Amino acid sequence: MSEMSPLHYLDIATAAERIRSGKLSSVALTEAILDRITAIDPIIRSYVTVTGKDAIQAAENADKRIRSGDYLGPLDGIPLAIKDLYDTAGIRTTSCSKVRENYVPTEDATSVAKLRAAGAVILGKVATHEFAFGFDAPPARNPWNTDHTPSGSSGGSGAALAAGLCLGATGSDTGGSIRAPAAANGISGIKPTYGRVSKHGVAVLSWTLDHAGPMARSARDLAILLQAMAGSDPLDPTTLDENVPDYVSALAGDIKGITIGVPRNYFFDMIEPSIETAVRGAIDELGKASSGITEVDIPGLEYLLESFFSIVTAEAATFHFEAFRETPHLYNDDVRQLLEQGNLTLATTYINAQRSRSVVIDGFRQAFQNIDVLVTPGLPVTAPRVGQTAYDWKTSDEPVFRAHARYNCPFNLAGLPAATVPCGFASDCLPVGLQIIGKPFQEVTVLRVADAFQRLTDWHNVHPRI
Amino acid sequence: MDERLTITSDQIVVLAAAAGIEVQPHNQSGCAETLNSLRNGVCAKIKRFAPHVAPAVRMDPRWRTGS
Repeated sequence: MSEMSPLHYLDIATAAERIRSGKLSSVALTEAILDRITAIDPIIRSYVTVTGKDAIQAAENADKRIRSGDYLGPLDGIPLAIKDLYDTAGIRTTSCSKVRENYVPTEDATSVAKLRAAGAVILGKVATHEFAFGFDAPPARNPWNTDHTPSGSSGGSGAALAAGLCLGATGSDTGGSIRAPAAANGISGIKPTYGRVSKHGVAVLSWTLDHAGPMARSARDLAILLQAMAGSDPLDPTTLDENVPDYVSALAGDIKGITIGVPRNYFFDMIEPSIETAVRGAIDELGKASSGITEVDIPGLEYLLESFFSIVTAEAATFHFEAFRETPHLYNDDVRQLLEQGNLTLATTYINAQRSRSVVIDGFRQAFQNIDVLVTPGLPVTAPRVGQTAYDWKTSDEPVFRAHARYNCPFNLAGLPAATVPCGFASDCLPVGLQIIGKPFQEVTVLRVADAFQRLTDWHNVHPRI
Repeated sequence: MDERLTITSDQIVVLAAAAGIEVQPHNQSGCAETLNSLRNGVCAKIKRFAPHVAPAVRMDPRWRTGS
């Protein structure tokens, strides 16, 4: 991070050091970001609610606390955006749906409470696809080209980060909803291991596939945010009581002892050629810095998308059971159609889809026997144009939903930690992401590799001209 | 594909009524097509599974889920 970087493109680590040392106040930083939101967000439309007054109050509290010697750590006084799927006490939380148009929670989601406890300043709520059920986040636009979407469902978070409208954000990921917008907006995001971060207070899309996690502009910032968010939660029975390591201290820059796995099958199928070129280049960089590249076959990936779609639609239909029967007309048509379908999924199809996860997990266990991380493209395509419903592969069309889920949902089915970081640009000048996947609860290894890549390259410091 | 397992658009209306919902007319054929496609894919995937392969219902990903 250059000394000359404008305040709105500071990374969390740099801003935190300046705030800690008294060179920058949280109020000055927060005001700079709020001013930029006022100037830029009418174009990007990433925020659905801005809580400027509360943010300035929180920033003043942080400055006062830090001046008195009570520094809370690297998130103290740092302005963040919260996906509108996360409950925020006293702040409207709509999940970008008319169904929850007037919902004002009385308590924070566990992750939000943890971020506030670490001193974070909440700037407001950012757009999601309705109930996170799609790879878009209307009305948000992609800062690299506003004719395109920021992907989704955490597209508001991705767009806000790329446009310099926050320093970090929360996201949620059921089939790629953190990693797809990370790839599409040229920012960084991590879906932690299933059970690592509490989902209490985050609207459900699919109980067995949902993951909550952070989004930021660097792997180091992801480590700082994940440190605050991770840990078991008595309010979320899906969290697991695993030790939370010191993620930031583990980022030594050295990955010489790490073996990088590259899949031979599935993950380079039906990919836009300039994306494959960028990803292969990134893999070469990692190969030189690590113990080397090992090609691996991953068994059990056939018909995986059918299992994913059967589970997510059936579980979403169950979560929305009552509201969907009472007010189906309040859902947008795309989500309504998915819920109609989910309501009619046979129990045997759902259970067989869940059975297939055991085989997917076993396939990854075999693939990981001689490697530490697996690397794949983040997406086979770049962000779609607004209104685009399918990608043209010449021989066939592929729906946007399928194209964005294809490389991501295997790791929701298996519950493995996976981060996506920027690694270049495609032929249409839109960002390309590199996905790094680790063994269960090895976020620390995933972040080490992502951080090492960002020490070797500068893609994460390239910002759109807005 | 086993045609006994094919849901038709007409059957979608009946199934929806039994489930207490309405499938919008413009989604009835798409809904039938998707449900058939998903079920056939899932059936193809589990075809060679041993009967003891259990659902990963615990969703503890620590390399010991399910099977």
